[in-house]
Order: sequence, then structure tokens, then C-alpha cells
Amino acid sequence: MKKLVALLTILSGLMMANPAKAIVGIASDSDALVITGIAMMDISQITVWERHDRYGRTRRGYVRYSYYTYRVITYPVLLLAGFVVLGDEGRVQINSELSADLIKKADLTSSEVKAFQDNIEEINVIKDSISSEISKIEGSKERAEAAGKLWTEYAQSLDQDAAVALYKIGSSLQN
Amino acid sequence: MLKTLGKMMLIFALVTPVWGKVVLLTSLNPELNRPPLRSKKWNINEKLEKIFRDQMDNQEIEVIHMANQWQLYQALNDKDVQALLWVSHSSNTSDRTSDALSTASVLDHQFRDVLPLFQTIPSHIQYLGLVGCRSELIINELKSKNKFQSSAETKLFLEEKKVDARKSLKRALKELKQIKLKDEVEAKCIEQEVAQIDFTRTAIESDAASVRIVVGGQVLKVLPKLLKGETQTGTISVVGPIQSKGDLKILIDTGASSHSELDLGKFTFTNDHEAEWKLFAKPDGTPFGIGSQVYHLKTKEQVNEWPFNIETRCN
Repeated sequence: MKKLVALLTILSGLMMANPAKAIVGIASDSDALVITGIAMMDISQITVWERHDRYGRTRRGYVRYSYYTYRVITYPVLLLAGFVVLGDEGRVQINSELSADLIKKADLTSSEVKAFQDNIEEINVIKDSISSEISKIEGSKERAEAAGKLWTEYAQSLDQDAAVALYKIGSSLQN
Repeated sequence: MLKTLGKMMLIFALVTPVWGKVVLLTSLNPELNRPPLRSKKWNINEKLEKIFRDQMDNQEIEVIHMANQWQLYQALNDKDVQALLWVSHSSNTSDRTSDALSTASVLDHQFRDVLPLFQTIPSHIQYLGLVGCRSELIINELKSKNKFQSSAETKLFLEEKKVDARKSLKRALKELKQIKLKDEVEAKCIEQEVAQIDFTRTAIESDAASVRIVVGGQVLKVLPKLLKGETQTGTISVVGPIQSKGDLKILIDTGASSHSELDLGKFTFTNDHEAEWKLFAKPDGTPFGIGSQVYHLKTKEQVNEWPFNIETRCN
């Protein structure tokens, strides 16, 4: 197993010049391609509503004023490669526990970490749905791209912070 | 006061008499686990059973082959069972590339993951043998995530490396014979505040698979396979504190991977507050998930203001 991991690591390094080729060459399992597809999720379509509280003083004391803004996440649609989940007989699940290193690497905010953990069941059932749907598509590159599109579509059903966290994690794992 | 929901109300101890029974559950498909150059009559389950019976003379035993999560759940919760041996394939994630993914699994003969059932080992199980490759790493991973509970007196047999089923079972039995099982175990009981949810499951279009009902990562109940047209009913108790709707989110899980499309049956959940649970689905109503589904609580009430039931639980 360790030799295989080492071999795939070397292969992925060699193929980094052509990320699409790396996906085709290495990832052959639907679950792997689903994870690859996370980084291809176009979350530029996701708007994040933010509440802002301000306090003003009146004759009756302090009063809270709330207003809302929204920001559009503008991460580019990236085709990143090099992340490989080896086909195994184990059940692949996305973990809710994130290491401090990964949180830092993915630049996750505390609210994104919490949303990710609170939505881990939803994230995993979406992953399973995507994995099943892309398994019907021929060609690894096409399947990875389809996974990206499906993540984009289905992430709309997730809490926004969870979707952003998922994207950041997927991207960081492939860097 | 509401923040104290779910805290232990009263601790007391009961002495429960337990009559020893040793159970062997194997979950290996003999067709897929036959060494090369063996006749079709060669059956791994028969070999394992012979080893078990030879070692367990004069002992109350039970053997179940091709066991699934329902049979495992029953054995774990059978107060007469003192020692349980589970033999199946398993895989671990420890040498994988990322901590964001896990493939830690204990797989039954249909490749369905039963690992969550091993998260809580009842105290009457004084010996648990997990005969499978690298089971020690899998349990260590659960421990590191604070997802493994067992009595200090429960002896675990785990394997560090990849193993041969027969050799590993022999080692497990040898170890079992070296320890003395107690006639009585001290069950710790606590009174807890719980939220009770009633459920109905109906197999409408086809037979529905055995599923476990999971809330907050805890397996609350396992349901057996359901034949088409049949209905199951029951109640689950979610231990507090319940502070948000998310705390009452329900996961229905077969343990199957994303490649095995299964009928999980149609669930309806209700409680005393006339709340409803809605299936997490695509806008067109197609549920998300293949081997598992998620139900979200829909209510306008503040769940942390709901009164709770008191339930005594013994491990």
C-alpha cells in the first residue's frame, strides 16, 4: 500500500503540468473523482448574507440597528489535481474532524468550520449522490467535470458557510 | 436550567446477573474468500466455526454466519452475551493522504460498514474480539475522535496488522480462554433527560434494507430488513442537551457505499410537539444520498424550550 501511495505521489507530481491528465491518469474511483470535483465547484454563484449590528444611543438608552449585506464568493473555477483517494474496499466518508493544519491551510473561519461540522451528514449524502451519478459517465475527465458541476448545483442546498468551507478544503487538498 | 439538559440526574449502580454466552459472528462471503486452488466446497465460514467450536467446549455458544448490522446489534444488546467475536474485512485510513477523508470501516459480507455499532460497547460484553485487518488502528481512530466507549473491564482483542482470518480467530480464542469472565457485571445506570421521537417506516416499492438510526453521531436504533408492504414503528430517545434543530437531525444509514443503491423505506417522524421531519432532497424532491438519507426537523418552536422525558439507561 505504501509503495502504491509513493508511486501515485510521484505520478501526480509528474502529471501536475497537465492537471486534467493527472485526474484521468490517477483517479479511477468515483469517490476520488467526487472529491476532485469539489475543487471544481463554482461557488462564485453562492452569495453569503452577512448581518451587521450597530448600536446607537437614544433617549431610551442603547438601541441595536441591524443591516444585511451580501457578498459574492468569487473563487475561480479551478481545475486542480494531484489529490488521490485510493480505491479501497472501505467506505469513503468526509470527516467532520478537521486538523488545525488543514483549517489553517484552507484558511477556514471559525463559522465555516462549525458549519462544515454541523452539515457533515448532508455533505456526505450529497457526495454519495454525486458519486453515484457520475459513475454512469464514461471517461474520468468527464466524470470529474460532471462532479464539479453537480457540487455547484447541490451545494445550493447546503448552508452557505458549509459550502464555502467544503470548497476551500477541497481546493487546499489539491494544492 | 435548560442548559443543564442531558446532564446526569442520578447515578446509581445495579448488579445484574449475566449468564455467560459466547457469540461468533462472521461476515464473509465464502465465494469471495476462498484461497486459490481450493474446491468449491471449501468454505471459510465452516472453517471458522470448527475452530470456534473446538475451542469452546462446554460453553454456551452461538454462531451466526453472513451476519449483518441487525444481527450484530442484537448480539451487542443481548444481556446474556459475555463475549463477542466479529470476523470480517476492515480497512483503515491512517496512512492516507488527508485527514479530511476517512475510509475506516468494518465491512460486513455485503460491504456495508458496521463500524458505528462498535462505538459503544455495553458493559455486559466482557470480551470483544474484532478479528479483521488492522482493527486496532480503526478503534484507535475512534478513540482519538472520542467516539469509542467501553467499560474499563471490557477486554478488547484487536489486530495491528493485516491478518489471516483463521489465525487471528485462534489468537482471539486463546486470549479469551486466558481471561476469566465474571458471572456478574456491574451495570452503571444513569437517569437522563431525553427527547423522544416516534417513527414509522414503510417499505412501499420494494424490500427496505436494514438501517440504523443515528442522531449526533450516536447509533440509537438498528432496524431489520423490511419486506415490501410491511411497516415498522418505534421510538428513539435522543439524549440532551438539545439546543437547536440541528441536534435533532436524523441520519438513516445502511452503511453501504455510494455505489449501492438501496431502498431505505419511507420514514415518518413525529413527537409530542407535532413537529415534522423533512427528507433532505433536491429541489425536485429526489432525496440526497444512496446508502443513507438525512431528515431535518421542521418546527417553528424553540426546541430548547421543549420539556423532556426522563429515561434510565444502563450500559
